[in-house]
Amino acid sequence: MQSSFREDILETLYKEKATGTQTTSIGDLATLLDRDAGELEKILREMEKDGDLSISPERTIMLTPQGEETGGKIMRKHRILECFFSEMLGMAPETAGKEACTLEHSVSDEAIERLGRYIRTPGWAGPRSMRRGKRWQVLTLIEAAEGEQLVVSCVRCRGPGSRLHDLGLFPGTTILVVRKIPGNGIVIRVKESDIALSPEIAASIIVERTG
Amino acid sequence: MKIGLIGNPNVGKSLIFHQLTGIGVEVSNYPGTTIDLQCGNTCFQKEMIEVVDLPGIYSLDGDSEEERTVRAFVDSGEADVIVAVLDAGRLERNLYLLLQVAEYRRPMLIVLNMMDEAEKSGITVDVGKLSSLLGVEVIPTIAVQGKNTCNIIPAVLSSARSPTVKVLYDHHIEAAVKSLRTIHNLDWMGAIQALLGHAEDPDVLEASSALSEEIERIHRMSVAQIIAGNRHHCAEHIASEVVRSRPPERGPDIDRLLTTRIPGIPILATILIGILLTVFIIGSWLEEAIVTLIDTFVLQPFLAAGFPPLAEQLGTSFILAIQAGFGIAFPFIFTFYVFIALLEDSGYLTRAAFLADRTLHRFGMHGQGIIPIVLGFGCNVPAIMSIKLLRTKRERLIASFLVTLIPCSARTVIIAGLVAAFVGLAAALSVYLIVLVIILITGLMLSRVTPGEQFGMILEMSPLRWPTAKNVLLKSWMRIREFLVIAMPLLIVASIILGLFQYSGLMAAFGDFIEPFSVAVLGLPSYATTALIFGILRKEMALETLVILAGTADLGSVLSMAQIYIFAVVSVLFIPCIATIAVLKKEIGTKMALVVSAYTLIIGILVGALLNIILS
Repeated sequence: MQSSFREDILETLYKEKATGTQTTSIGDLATLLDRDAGELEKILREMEKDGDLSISPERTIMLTPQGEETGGKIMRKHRILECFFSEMLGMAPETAGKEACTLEHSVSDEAIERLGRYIRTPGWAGPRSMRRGKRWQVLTLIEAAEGEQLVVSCVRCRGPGSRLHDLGLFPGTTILVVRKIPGNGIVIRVKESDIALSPEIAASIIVERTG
Repeated sequence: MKIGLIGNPNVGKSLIFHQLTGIGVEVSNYPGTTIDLQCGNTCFQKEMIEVVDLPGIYSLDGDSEEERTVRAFVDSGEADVIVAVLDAGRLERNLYLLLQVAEYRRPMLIVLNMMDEAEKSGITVDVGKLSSLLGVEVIPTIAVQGKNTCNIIPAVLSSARSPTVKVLYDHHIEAAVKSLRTIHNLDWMGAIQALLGHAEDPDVLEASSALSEEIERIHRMSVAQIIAGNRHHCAEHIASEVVRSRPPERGPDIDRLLTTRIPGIPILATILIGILLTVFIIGSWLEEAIVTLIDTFVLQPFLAAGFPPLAEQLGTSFILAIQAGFGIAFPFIFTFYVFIALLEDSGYLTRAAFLADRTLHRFGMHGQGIIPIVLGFGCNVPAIMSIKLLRTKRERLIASFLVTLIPCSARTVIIAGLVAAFVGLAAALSVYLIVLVIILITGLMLSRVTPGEQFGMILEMSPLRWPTAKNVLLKSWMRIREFLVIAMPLLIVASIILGLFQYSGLMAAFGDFIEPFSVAVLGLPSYATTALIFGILRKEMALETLVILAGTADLGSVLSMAQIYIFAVVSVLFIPCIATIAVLKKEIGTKMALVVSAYTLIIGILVGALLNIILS
């Protein structure tokens, strides 16, 4: 409760800042969150100690970079969940918003990343759209370096693609890049066996960095 | 009673087959060497048991030739018991195929092979638990040491039973299977196969394709992908139950040395050149010994016996053919096969394929293409036979063009016996250079014009291991036997035809006919061109015929150095020998075999004419 309320505070402040409000006073915040100003101030002082925000002598609140990051993350989670509930599951916008408010604190980062990718292109999240954002550590196998451990996210190979499936290259399979010769092929370890692939085959396998 | 051996490539299936049946079948460390079904018989407690070795595959669902062959075999129900061979070190991947086979609910037995290698890499498998999870008897073996393989046949007879393992499929798939079964009265297996698009009945196919479209719409994944995913999941689950692994003992990383650009590529070049040189040295030493032996103990006594002229001519031709077969083919090609078997069994060949992938890509092929090319230096016939390892028709076509141009050991005999002996070593090497340049140009050109799609290489790397002398020799022997079966009859027929030509005087008539062309285009006397043409029967025969027709072994006295050089280059390039044409016809069809032959003929004459202009 405590931490989710703190996250709500950061989210609200972030939203305020994003809409152009330069400073938010404790009083304004209390109204926005529907809380008692005195109780709120106590929590805000604690958060100031933790380095999430700073309170000026005029009792206005400023987000620190750390607090801004947390707030932004929570807001993103909220938006994605809200969008998913209303746009894709067809819930009423208000209910979707409320549901998102509760879930945003417990949903994991990975689930939200995947959900976000799913919403953008349902069914299949292409590599290009992902690379543009640089937010996702998604790459084709040919871009991976020797010794890297990766998780297969998609095999888009025509023709011999089914052979790759048979060898165990499936979304979710963990693979290790055993050997890579620049401009030449790549050797990966899948389910204990080493498999050599031509670059054009490797380029059609989309993987994610786990670390 | 009939049993079928099924399993992934490179799990020791062929070795187990050999140990069960006792006949020497090829045992290979290169994925997919057994393409035809190998059959053998064994007797146990007075019962005759037929064993069939099926090609190594990764899945029953694909549409490669091997996969279709195995699917048809399993579908037909021919086998009373299916013996699945699994690699203990790669259990999860091997279980994927096993789960597919298990769905047929036929009596089965599982052989868990390579227990020693699994142990070395720190993997232990709970055999009892695996057996109870699958509902089939599991026999752990170490086939390379022959350990426990003797228990396979008794177990087949006493405890083969239908597996009980069941893959949990996605509920949409299960629902579709259920509706197909009730409406079309199919069994479970038939319904799954229909969903995957393998069905005979058009009504069933229509219903199943409608269902799979619906499933694809819901899942945004093809039915094949969903089913494969479910099977993988099941395999993963079973493997996680029975496999315990600890970090393997770390030895020196030889693999790294072999598969990096430096020193991997220099090592590859050294190994290949070293093999060619060694084969040549050992081969010529053996050749001389065998040829002298046949000469003194067979040919001379035969000639001394004084048969009538026609019989003597035919007999001589026959002996010459045997001499060529055992004196040239055997020493060079057998030595060569021993080295190839060493490369295969040690697992190096797959590394060579990996390193060569990029280079061969420029010529429209892939890493696997290195095998026919290397084999081609020994003899074109087995090289052409090996092109079925290549996956696409396009690759096979390009490979057959290039392989027929590669100077095999018979052509090496011409280059060494003619150019190196009469012109000089540098000139002999320049012949190789000319051929190499022509091969490169042909490859570059073909990769542009040959129709068909080009896919990349997907090749499982064989683990590095010490080859055993017994297996290497056995494999080489099996291959040379196969070669002799194909080439020997052709050699004998060709030699006898040549003998008859000489006897009847047709040879001289042909010489007169070819004379104007020969002198004008190639700058060669007519008898040299006649010799060239007879080289089609057997490449090194061109040299022998030339000596006979010229009437002297000192060719330097009758032909100029330029003429000798042109003769050698043309005979190396133009028209593959008759045995090569025969296998070409078998592998790529009559039409393409003719195109390849015509191409080499044109190249040979063009280069010969060009050299004639330059050198004279």
